[in-house]
Amino acid sequence: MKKLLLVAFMSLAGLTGLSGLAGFAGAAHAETIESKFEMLGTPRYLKVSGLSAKVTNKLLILNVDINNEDDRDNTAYYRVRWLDETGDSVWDEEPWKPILLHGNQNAHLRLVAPTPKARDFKIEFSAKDNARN
Amino acid sequence: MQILVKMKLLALTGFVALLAGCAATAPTVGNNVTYGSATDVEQLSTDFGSTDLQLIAEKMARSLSEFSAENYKDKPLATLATVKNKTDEYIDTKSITDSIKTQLLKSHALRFAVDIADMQNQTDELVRQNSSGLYKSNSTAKVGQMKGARFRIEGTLTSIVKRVGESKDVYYKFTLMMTDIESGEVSWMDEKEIRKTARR
Repeated sequence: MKKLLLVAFMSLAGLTGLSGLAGFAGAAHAETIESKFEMLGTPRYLKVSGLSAKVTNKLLILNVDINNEDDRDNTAYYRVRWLDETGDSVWDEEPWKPILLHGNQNAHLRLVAPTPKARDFKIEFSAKDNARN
Repeated sequence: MQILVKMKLLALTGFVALLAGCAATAPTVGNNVTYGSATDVEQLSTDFGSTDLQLIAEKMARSLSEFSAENYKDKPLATLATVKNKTDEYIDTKSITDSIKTQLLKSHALRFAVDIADMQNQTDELVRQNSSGLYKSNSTAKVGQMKGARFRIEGTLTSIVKRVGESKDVYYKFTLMMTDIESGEVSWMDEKEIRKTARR
């Protein structure tokens, strides 16, 4: 089993200050954690507290931890763009997936690549609480 | 002076008309309909919808792909039966079956043999090629060469619906199971749960 990469912590609200925490060991150049996310707006209460990725049986598997720092329920939507080493997309556009986080809940997402061709990824993330900013 | 103002007004009117003309050149007919994104989360009602179908197909295909990659070096041959609908709703479950099959084939996780629903078309074509006398004998598909599947995959969709006052809660559960045809052993099974609530 070939393990790739990163385990790190970050705040989606304060991504810019945390660049360079970790990078892809197998990638041609080091990438920051925040470079793996494409945020649609800035979540007010939802924070990504962990992101790790590894290759098992040729499939890229991501583990993402999201915290709700609000004491009320919050909903977010996410999807992954699966890419090859050169950044080309290797799979169709995924459907957006809703996730409900109860007040102060820590949620864990395990995301499996649909094809062994996937060697890189981008996570698109949109929180409903964006609108309250 | 008045003539100059009139000329300016005419020029402005012409410019506006030109802009309107440009807008009309968009490759559309009419503007009563809006096209949306097929991947957006549909939240119009608690009825089974496109997002439910997509979430189920993706979860099942990814789970089965992962299992296949872990356990089989070759891509085993399987048949996928049309999903059984045990909810109270009318749901075209063939669409769920097709989405799962499409994703599994695209990911090269499994190969699929003709399923029961398509067997009649398959045998009709074989008979047509071999018995009609219309085809060159060296170009016809030979009878007796079909491959038997190692696994059969079957799925079921169930639901529990509760209505209290103005609130409605719908719980969907989709179960998919892969069985070794020779041994009868259930090799893999997974499920996807979805909860939708609405207030009138």
